[in-house]
Amino acid sequence: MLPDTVHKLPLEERTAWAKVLAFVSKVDGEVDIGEMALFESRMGTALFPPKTRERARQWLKNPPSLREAIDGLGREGARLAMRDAVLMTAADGEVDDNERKLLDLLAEELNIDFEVVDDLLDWVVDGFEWMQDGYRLLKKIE
Amino acid sequence: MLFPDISDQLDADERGAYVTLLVLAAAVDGRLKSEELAALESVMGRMLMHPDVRAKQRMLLESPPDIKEVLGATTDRVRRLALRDTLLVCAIDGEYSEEEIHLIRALAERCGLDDDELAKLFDWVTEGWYWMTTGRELCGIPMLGDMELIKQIKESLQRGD
Repeated sequence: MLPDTVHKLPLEERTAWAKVLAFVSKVDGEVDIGEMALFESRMGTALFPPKTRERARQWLKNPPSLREAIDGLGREGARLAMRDAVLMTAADGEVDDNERKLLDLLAEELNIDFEVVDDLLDWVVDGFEWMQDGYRLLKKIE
Repeated sequence: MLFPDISDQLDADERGAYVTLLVLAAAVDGRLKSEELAALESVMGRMLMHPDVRAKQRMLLESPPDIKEVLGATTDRVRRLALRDTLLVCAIDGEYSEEEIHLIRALAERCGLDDDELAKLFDWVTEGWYWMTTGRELCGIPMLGDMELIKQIKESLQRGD
């Protein structure tokens, strides 16, 4: 619900962006309900037409290869995919060794420095704290 | 929301009321922007709403329900989450219209927040914008207006506002 540019990318690039997120969600095997909700949320942000959304749900069950996913990405789409991969991986508050390896692999494939991944992980922590501040301001919410 | 959120714990009725209140927020000034629609679609996705339910919610954009009815029929936590996220939805096109401010004030009053507390919530939205802008800056893909926003907020922090 914060201003973003994903929905302004050409449909082909948004599609590739979604494939990367499906690949990241599925990489450890099963997709739990939280991961599915986050994926659906991002699909909503992208303002996909209904048929593309249906196809995207299939990618969550049978994800494309990483190579296939990133092939359709331009510079902006690649960087948004990297940011959102970090966000999806770290949103639950922790990044294990396998997830970190995955993020580094993705950064390598997308030609993005590993330092950017480190910075994005710190950025996610800042975002998590921002969310907690919001609860405090609302008072009495549980 | 981009993180696990209390809205994830809402039951089906609460989810419906929460989304309806955000539809009201998007529709209140009669000018639906693509950013507002993206925010709504994101929320409905997050709630894992059935496509038919999403379609019904989208129809409410054309004929929004009476806010008092929706507020009266739901829970306190929905009203509070809706207040928070109404601020985000209304801000997403870069400005709050008069109608949006009126809606936000009505929600805040219903939640028992005074003017100072509401002002802090507005500041919180600005901080969220700054956070999102920083993410794009880290990736080297600023959008129009990002650098100006970062400059303004840095100056504000230096002044201790």
